[in-house]
Amino acid sequence: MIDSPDEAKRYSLKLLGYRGRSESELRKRLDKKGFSEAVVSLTVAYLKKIGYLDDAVLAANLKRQAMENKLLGLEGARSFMVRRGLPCEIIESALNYEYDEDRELKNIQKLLDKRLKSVRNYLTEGEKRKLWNFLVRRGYSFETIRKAMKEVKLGEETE
Amino acid sequence: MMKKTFLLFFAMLLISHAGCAKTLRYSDEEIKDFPPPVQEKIKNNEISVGMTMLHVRYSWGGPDSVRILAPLEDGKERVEWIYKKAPFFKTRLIFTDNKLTEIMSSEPGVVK
Repeated sequence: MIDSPDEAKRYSLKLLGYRGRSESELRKRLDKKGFSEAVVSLTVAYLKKIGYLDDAVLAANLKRQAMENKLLGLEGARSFMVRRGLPCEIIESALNYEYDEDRELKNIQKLLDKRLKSVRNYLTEGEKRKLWNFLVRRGYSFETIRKAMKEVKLGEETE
Repeated sequence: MMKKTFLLFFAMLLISHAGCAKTLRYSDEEIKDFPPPVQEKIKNNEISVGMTMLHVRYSWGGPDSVRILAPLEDGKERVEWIYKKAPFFKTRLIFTDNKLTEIMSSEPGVVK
């Protein structure tokens, strides 16, 4: 066990420099490094007080990353944020926006455009199913996927 | 010889533009509570003394390396963020208690 608050603070500042982390992620890293529970709590409290550690700020950041950079659906964004150790209430408050179907359809279209390039201009039933599953894994609802897939012009397979 | 020079120049050009892909690092919602001059800097991918680590991250993204410096005599924390661009340009930012206090760069135009 390491019982040096200064060392924990320095290690945390280094970790937080590279990228934003949630309180839970930071606690795990400090714990893994061997800092005692008391030192971890003290360090986390200090970092929160001076604004280095802020789950709400991170949530807003991850929401944008999920929806705009990774093109995830609402459910995908939620899972992404859960995996980063954010508490449920902060995730829900960050995702608390009017469901924007147009935006989701646009994102799906971008994903489909990328995928369709690699399968030329026709899709077999199997490829359609793969696309459907791919969009489900990205966290889009069945209803939105159905609408998006309807709008995609799919050619017939030629022998 | 000409071909080699051209290839070398092209490779260097590619390296120097590595990481310049336009991935948005912020949304208006994320920066709406920052002071207007800071918002303007972030939109222009600029940094200035007085910005916090969060502001700099929104403007430039995360650093390539981080060093924890010895604290000042009054106990203020000092952290150095280092950004490397191509093999030749290096920018060092020193934060004192979460405020950008020094900018040192070998890249032209960074320090104004």
